[in-house]
Amino acid sequence: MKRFKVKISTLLTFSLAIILGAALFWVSQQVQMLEREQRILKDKITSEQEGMRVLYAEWDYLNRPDRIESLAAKYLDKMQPVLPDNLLANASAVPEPQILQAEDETPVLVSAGDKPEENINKNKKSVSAAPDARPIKDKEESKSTDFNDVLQKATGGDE
Amino acid sequence: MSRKSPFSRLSLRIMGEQSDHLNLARGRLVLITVFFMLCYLVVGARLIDVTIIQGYLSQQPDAIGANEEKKHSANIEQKSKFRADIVDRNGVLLATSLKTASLYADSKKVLDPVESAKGLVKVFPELSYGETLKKLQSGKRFIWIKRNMTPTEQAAVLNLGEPGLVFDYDFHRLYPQGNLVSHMVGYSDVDGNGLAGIERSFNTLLNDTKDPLQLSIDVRLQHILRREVKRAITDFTAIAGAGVILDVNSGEILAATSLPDFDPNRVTANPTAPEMFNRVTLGVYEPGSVFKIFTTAILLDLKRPSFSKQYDAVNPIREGRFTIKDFHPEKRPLTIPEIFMVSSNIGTAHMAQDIGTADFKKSLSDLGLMTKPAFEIEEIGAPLIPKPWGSINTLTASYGHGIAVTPLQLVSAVGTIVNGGMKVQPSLVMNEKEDYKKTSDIRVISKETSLKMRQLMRLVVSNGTAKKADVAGYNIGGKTGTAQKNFHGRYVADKRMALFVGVFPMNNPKYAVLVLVDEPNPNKSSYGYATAGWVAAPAVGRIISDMGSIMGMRPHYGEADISEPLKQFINDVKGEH
Repeated sequence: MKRFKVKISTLLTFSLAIILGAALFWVSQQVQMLEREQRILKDKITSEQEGMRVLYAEWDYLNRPDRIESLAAKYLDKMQPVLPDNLLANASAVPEPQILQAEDETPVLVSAGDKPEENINKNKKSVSAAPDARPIKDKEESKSTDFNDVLQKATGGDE
Repeated sequence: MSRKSPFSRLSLRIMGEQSDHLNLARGRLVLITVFFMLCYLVVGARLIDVTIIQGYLSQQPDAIGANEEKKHSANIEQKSKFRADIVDRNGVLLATSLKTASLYADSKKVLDPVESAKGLVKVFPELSYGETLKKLQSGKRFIWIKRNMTPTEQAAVLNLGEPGLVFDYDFHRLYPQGNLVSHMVGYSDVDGNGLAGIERSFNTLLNDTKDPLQLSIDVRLQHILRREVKRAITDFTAIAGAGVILDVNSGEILAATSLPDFDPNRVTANPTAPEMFNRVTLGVYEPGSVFKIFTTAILLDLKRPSFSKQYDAVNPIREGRFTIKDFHPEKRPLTIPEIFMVSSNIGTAHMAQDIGTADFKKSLSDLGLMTKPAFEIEEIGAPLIPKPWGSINTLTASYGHGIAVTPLQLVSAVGTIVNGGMKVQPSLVMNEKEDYKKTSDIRVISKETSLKMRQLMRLVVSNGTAKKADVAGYNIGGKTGTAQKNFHGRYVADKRMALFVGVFPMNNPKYAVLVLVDEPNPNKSSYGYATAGWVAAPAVGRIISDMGSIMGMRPHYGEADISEPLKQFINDVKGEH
């Protein structure tokens, strides 16, 4: 007599197939998710790169030599284009910066940095004002210093 | 058999001789059932995947452009592709491709053509209402309305709310330097095909690669050159000008300008318009006295005469219907340095007679002056050589008349003369390969001749016609040339071409600077002169003074002037111009 029965190995095979199928499904889902994530990242990178390209183009557009030249002529009135005479053999040949004594006895380093336009105008208007070599960000702080008086004199005199 | 199967309770036992068959049939039935169950399981899983998981993901915010890829592959050929950047030797962008939005209409989807056309004309005033309306009603699925718009314009179009107006993203060629390098870089059309300059000659490469193409141009030097040539044109109310800065050892073109020029960002002029003409590589000009450099060099190289050798410069040479005269006649026999310094046509013609026509022609062709030179851009002019070349042509060509070459050839040949005699092959593209040999190994003239020529050219600047080009400490040498312009075979007296080639430093030449000014007119500051010594030489002096500091070249004061040994051959010279 023979009777139908399921061998344990068959059962195991079936369950294995189901487990593997589920695992395959899960992996494929994961792959799709990751691929999607990768695509999004790639697109973001591309978009960033496009943005960088725009910025590079803008940077080089704004740094056109003729524009720099006209800006330098306009705002850096003490800075002249470098002449062959200005080239020195080594660093020790650089002359020491001169320390001038301004009228309010503040030592002023004679140099020309990035000066905001209005400061240049103020300096021009008030003859006694020491040249302001400080960068723009110091403008607010300078209100508490002695220099403020000079500033106010300069601006107040105008109004 | 005694083992208890989990299915044993379910199993129905049928006894008898048919039971085996039944068992077999049931087994198959179970198998089929399981198979179909699995099938439905797979289908169900896939349904969950497609409807729920994929559906959920597609609603997630996605990066720009992820959903719109390959929407219309039909017009992919019409889209301008990404083109590689063109940069200068320091990496400054000369040409770049930026992704911009372009507007096209899907006229089948346009709801209200009249209102949309009105709105579009408001956003883009350059579009005509009639044409836009026609496009919107054309019934075509794809028709360009406007290429390469700004983000603001794009937003304005979106505000029209017309579903038939669709954006596409393609690349727009941008030239951040504007007019500065226009002729050398060239320009390309809206579809990304190079039409001139490097853009044209490297069209395929630029379309196929992503890496930027590096040129040997330096925008800072380019700016100095352009500014000074422009100043010379304005000061002397000239019609045009050109300039080249060449590295005489490697042949790299550091700057090359042709004025008037154009803005490659918006090319509106006809390709034959004067501003589109590349005077550096395409224009051929009679170089005038600058050619005396070559005649003298060939004589010194082939015949090795002593500097004290004198040539008659008293009597004008008459040959056939031609008479060769001097601009500032000295009316006495002149030594070779004197001939070169005062730029005597008669003396130079006698020198050419000494050389002989065959040798003269051969040497000119060795210098690359007789054939169209090889160069990276396609706008190259072939020199105008007299045909047939008789002995009179040798005489006139000796001082640069009756032969016309491009400024590029001229400056390269001068580079060959001064760099020690090795042939200069001008190049515009940087070669970054490590094994690439920058200097050429074709010797054209001897080292000794090269040194002599440097002495002579220095003499022209220290004592001769180009004193205004001198910059203290840089040991500039050069040669002026003023040629009368030739209109339909007839020379016009007051239409000139002023030319100066300067080389510095003369002790060990690095750079050659050429400035050409077309039809300069005398002004007050030049005391009525419009010759090269007054027009082109000062411009070269200013260029060298400015470029020296950029290239970090320290001036050497008090260094022995290499033209000093020649002073003994100079007698009292009265010509001063």
